Amino acid sequence: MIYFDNAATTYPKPPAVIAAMSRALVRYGANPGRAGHAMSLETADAVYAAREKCAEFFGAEPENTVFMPNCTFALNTAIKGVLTENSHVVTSDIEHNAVLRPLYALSGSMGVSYSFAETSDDDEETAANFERLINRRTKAVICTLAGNVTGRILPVARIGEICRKKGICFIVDAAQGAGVLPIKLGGGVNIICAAGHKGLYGPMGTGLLVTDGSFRLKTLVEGGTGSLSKELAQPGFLPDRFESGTINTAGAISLGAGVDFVTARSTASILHHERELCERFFAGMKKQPSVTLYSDAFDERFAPVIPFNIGDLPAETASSMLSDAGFALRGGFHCAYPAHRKIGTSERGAVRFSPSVYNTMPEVNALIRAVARIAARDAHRA
Amino acid sequence: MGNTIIPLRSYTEARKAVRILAGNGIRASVTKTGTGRYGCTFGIRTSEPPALVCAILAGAGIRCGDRMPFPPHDPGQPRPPRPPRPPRR
Repeated sequence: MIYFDNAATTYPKPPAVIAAMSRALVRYGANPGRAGHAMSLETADAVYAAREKCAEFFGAEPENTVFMPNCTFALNTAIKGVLTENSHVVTSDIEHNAVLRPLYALSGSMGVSYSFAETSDDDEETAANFERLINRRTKAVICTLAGNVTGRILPVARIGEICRKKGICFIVDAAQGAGVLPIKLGGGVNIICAAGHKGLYGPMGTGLLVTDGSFRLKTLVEGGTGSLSKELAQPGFLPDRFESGTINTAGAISLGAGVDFVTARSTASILHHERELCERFFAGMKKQPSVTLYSDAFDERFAPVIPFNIGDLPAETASSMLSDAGFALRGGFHCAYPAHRKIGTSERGAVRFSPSVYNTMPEVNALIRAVARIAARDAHRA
Repeated sequence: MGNTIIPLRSYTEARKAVRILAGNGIRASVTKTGTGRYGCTFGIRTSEPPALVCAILAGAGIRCGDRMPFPPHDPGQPRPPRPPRPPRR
């Protein structure tokens, strides 16, 4: 199967990540940060090495780089950690449920209110839309680095500057952008939540919460941390504060190998490669009269994600037909219904093309031909 | 490695301390210390004078265990009540 669903999770993983995971399971088998015996210390050291790599990647200190089960858990920790009763949040109109559902839950339990800033083709206009919605109760601005449906890259630097001037916590959902787009703490960005298993090429079951320490977060989970065991109160210092229980040790270690992989290739070259594939795919789809695309062009405004539809086929049907033809793409609403409302696919959803560093131009050409065949069959049936 | 053990707050902090000390030409290793005032923690083992080591670490924002206020509770939240002692047998 030719895999183009890398916005969901990247596949395949680099050999070095697979090797790191295998080595971790065999060699680093003790619980890190608990016992004082050699095996536990060696495991803890391997975890720390991975933590250092992740920290450096995002411009953070190692102790402020927290391993999470996934980006959703990181976002929940950040969002629920920073918001208080009746506070207000500004977010964008293309967010994932990992941002929207915690906010919705908090609107019921804590009276949190939230406003949606309209995103547009003009970055200054988008940033101004965010700024306009900030009021005296605004505690945080939360937005995606790049939409997982539209691929649109948001002006995070500009929004960060606004938040910095107003002293508001800025949380960036880097699930889609980490590993292909530049993103670091600073410039008003206080917290980055990232998936370990997408652009960072780590295994599923890994994520990161990276903070500059400016905003103290309440805990969602309390438990054993291997530190201050006599005390019932959760430690106040990171990363222990947010790493209760045994972490996904092999996952964290192999995530470090994933970060090594991305760093060695450079995010710029990975982005260049994936954008070339996207440009080819976009051009191929544009030539097909029954294929619908949802932007006028694919260019530097977008991360390597392209939504499309074939004729009148529901998105799930189209993706199922592509699967029968040997291509893995996700069709549906992508856990981001507002984004579909924005591009006009709220009824049928869309099929999403998202390549990785491992996809090739011949694979994209083969997909273009497969789409053409499906489109022709659909037109004939009609 | 030496016999001086300096407790810190966590493995992560101890590991960072080792790196900082290495940058200052001081050898240290991470070790577990389990009988401190607040229970289990990790620290560093070194041959160097504690005062020197702690001064270097203080410059990096790391406070040595025996000198640290070590607040056990979250300063942003009220201290929860202590649970009742178990009955003597």
